[in-house]
Amino acid sequence: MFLQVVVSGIVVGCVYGMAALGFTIVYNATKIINFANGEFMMLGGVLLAGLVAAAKVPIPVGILAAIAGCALVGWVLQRGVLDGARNSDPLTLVMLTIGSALALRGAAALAFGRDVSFVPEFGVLPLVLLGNVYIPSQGLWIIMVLVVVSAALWYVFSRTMLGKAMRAASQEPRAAALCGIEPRRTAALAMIMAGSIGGLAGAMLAPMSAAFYENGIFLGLKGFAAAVAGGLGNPLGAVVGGLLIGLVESLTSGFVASGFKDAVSFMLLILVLILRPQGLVGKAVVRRV
Amino acid sequence: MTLHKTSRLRRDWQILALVAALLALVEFCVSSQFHRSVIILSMIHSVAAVGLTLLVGYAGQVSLGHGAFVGIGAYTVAFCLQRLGLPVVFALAAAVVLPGILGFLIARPILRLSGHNLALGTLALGAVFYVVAAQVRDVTGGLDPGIVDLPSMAFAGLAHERVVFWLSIFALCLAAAIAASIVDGRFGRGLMILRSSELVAECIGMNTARAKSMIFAVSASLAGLSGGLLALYLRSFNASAFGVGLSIELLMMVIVGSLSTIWGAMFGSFAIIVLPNLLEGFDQAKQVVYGVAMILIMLFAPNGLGETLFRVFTFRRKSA
Repeated sequence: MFLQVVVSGIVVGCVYGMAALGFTIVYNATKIINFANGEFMMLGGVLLAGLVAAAKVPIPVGILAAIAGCALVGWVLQRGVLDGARNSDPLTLVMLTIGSALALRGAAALAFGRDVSFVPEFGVLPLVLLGNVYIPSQGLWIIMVLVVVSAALWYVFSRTMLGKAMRAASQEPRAAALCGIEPRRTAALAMIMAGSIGGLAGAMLAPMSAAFYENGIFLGLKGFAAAVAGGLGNPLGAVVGGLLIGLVESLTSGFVASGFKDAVSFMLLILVLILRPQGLVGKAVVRRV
Repeated sequence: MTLHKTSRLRRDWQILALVAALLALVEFCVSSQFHRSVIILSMIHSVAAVGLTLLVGYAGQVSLGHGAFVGIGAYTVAFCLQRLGLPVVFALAAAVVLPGILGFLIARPILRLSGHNLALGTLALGAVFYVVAAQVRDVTGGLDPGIVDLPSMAFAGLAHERVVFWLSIFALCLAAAIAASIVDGRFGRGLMILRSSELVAECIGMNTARAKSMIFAVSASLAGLSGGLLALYLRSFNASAFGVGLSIELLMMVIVGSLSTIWGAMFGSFAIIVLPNLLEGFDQAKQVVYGVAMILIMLFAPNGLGETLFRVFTFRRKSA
């Protein structure tokens, strides 16, 4: 029973980890907390459901389309909305991303309806049984996708010129700009990456929990909780934070009360923000005035 | 700013008297039940929006969780009326005091955060309240059935709606009066300094932690009052009314109105509540329109739509 709960926590945690990754990449590139990040995941799920269930598109094509759609939305969001307010105060930026989230949610409701829709499991992978713990096939998919995404991101950020440029721009925007790294371009790239990761995560989650236009708020908050728990801006921390939030939630619903699982992860978010704003594993940052 | 203090205060009282007279006039003239309910809801939301303006506009502390305090106010009224059998006046007083105290206690830790983190923290707080309210069925009734059948407010021959209308006018004027006197006083001026720079505020000897807690508590009380009135008016409601959506809607009201005067909040609440009810079939596209409006306002009129329009209007008049 305990191990089973842990396994389902890890699976959910992988999804939160992907949500947190998108959030972290955007934060690193622009120092914006993207409140619309959860909507990418919602869109990924809803797009996949719409394509597979209504348009009878094969699942792999549907997933690719969902990723592309979310990447496009991310690009439009950055170019059309956030670029115009790059020097605004945090409140304005927060409200801009919340406004975008509302608009995306509304657009999804208009385009795909307000019903909960379902996507068939991806299949192919078997259901694994270890002793009396079973790992669902969709769970295996999710774990694999997180591993692949993390490896790809690690490669991009530590081995390619593009990734190094993005890291440079996030550490020292001015010096990076002097070296010819266009900040608007890295910002747009970051948002495209966040959109694709969010869309992929949402599509992976859709067969496990139904796709619904209002999913974005809670998925977004879980992603924030994960990113903050791992130390904002730290991609490895984001994945670890996601797993942690997933485990805590799963343990709460398994052993305390399932209704309170959301409340527990949000409380965790508040506590980490107040007590350890550098994240559970990070070093304290001293700010000079 | 201090030079014009007395005249500004007087101007605020004049506006307040005007608003009160106008609303009273409306009360006598409106015959349609539907129009009456839209105006009542606008006034009730105004009360919370005025409080939020103090916090967001004046003190510069964003809250994405004020829906929670509206909810606490509503459940307090329901609890006082149904379980304790208290008179309405005491129930409403409790709906002001309890959120105020809770707000004061929460404010100190939560307002240590700033900028993005504060937005995140308060958003999470609102979400926690929603989950708890939906789960603690003993007190709140959860999502189904929620709170049902609060007593009617019909009194001395006046129908339920008319009594609530008068009560809302009174509450709104009270909220505006409190807000105006805070804003025009020493404390309010301190808050404005706090908004521009916390460091400066501390250097001139302000106890910033205390000031922030106080203003958070005041805005939580006003949100509670608004929630109490909402409970009295609706008589039946459930936790879904106090989710993250309500918090965002309240913030929208502030932004649509103005970030720098409390009168903007009233403009904003009426705009946000009345417009969707006027446009037929708007409900379908409501979220898209809200979202796009929010983006446009933040891009082109970050001080609030009402205020920017007002500025443009008065500037044109002066220059002409």
